[in-house]
Amino acid sequence: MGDRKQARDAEFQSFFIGRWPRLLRTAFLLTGEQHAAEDLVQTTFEQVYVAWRRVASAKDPDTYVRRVMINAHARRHRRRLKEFLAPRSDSPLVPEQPDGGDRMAQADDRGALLTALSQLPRRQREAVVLRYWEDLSETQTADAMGCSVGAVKSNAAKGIAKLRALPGLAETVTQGGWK
Amino acid sequence: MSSDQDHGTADHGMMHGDAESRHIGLLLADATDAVRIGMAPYQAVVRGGRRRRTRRCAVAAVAAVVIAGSAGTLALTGATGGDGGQVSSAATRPHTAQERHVYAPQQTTVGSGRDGGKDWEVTVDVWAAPWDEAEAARQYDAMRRTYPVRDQGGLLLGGDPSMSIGRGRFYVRVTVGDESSMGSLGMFTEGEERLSGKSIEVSTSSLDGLGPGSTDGKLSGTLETGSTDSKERRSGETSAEIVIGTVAPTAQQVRITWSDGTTTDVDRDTEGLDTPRILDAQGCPDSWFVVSVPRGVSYESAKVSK
Repeated sequence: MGDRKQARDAEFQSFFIGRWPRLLRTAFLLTGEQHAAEDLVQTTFEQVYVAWRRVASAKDPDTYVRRVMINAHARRHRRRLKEFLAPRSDSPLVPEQPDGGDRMAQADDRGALLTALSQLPRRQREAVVLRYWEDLSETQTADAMGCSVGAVKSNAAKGIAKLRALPGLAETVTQGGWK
Repeated sequence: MSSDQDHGTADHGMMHGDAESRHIGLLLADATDAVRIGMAPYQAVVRGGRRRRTRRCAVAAVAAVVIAGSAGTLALTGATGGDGGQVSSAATRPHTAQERHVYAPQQTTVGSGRDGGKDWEVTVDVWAAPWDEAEAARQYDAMRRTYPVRDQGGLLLGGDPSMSIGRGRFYVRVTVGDESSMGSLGMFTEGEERLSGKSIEVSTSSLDGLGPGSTDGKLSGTLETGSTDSKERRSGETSAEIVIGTVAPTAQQVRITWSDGTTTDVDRDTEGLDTPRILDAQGCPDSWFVVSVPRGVSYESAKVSK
């Protein structure tokens, strides 16, 4: 019994450590702030830990984790917990000492993108992040968001359209991203 | 989820054929470079997870009253009288999903009253735990049909219905006049821990908050998470509120303390639904109570006193 529990804990630890970096980035795009992102991922995995026996035996544990995280994000949003979505002057999002004009412009672009992302309605933001950052299919995104594929298409399309309208972003996009 | 993960599904890549979309993906990836990736806080997560488990919080939804643990649907229905000892025998346990209320919830009104000229009512929907994948999938569909999409935020965990096997769920519905708010979701795991002893979970809900955003009578208003010693004061003078709580089926009395220091005792053996009392919700592992917050005060704390 004890051995089995130890094995489960080890399995969870491995899973958690493996997913931490990627999910932290996803959470960062959803919340726009380092600490909020860490908190969101930590909360997510606390729930996953409680249900680990079930999660580990599931066909795709990542699907479960994504769903838990999106739900946790939605709860925070609904409870209006303060999210610092827009980069602030003291935010780590803005490099303290950019090492050149290009880097400065790049940081500005990043800030603009994050600001634009933060201004999207929550569901559009989630759809964009899951589709284009997590690189999930529409079906997988729908599973994560608990909605229909049609809703994913609609939310992602609207979100992308708003991001495209961001001054400078369209040029950046057509040039293939920042260099 | 990891970068080397295979996401190969039929529709994958169709939208990604769009070069612009691909580039937006690159821009998002670039934006995440600002994140500082520290060491994964494994110990903190385990501690947090254990705390959740101890509190029977399988999953907290929007302001959830979360209760984990159950001894099974019928056992709970039979757990009356406060000594927790009256449990239905296994021989009488229903076996079909319909009999167990897997596809349609059992509904119990756990409190009602009148405030500001409007009647209010708190109802609990309890969905029994599916026992296999087929039942879980059918229950999933039934829940999607029963609740508006926006109320499913904390409900339909994972796109994989098999995740639900062995787990019952309940929803709390607060109705004021003609308006309802599906505010809170709890889950309980069949055959595992259950709320016991003097454990208590408490939430508060504003009765005045129902209404905004309503388009179809099913509101997105939510119950605010409370705690047994919440310091989050809410104005009792301007907002009608109720306290909704769950306790172990053995609890006989709950004492609620208001912000001015006065208390209200809620007993199990009290007659009349309009009188606050502890009672069981059909199919739910634990007992419930609902109390209207007196005007001019706010909820402070609650404990099982007997």
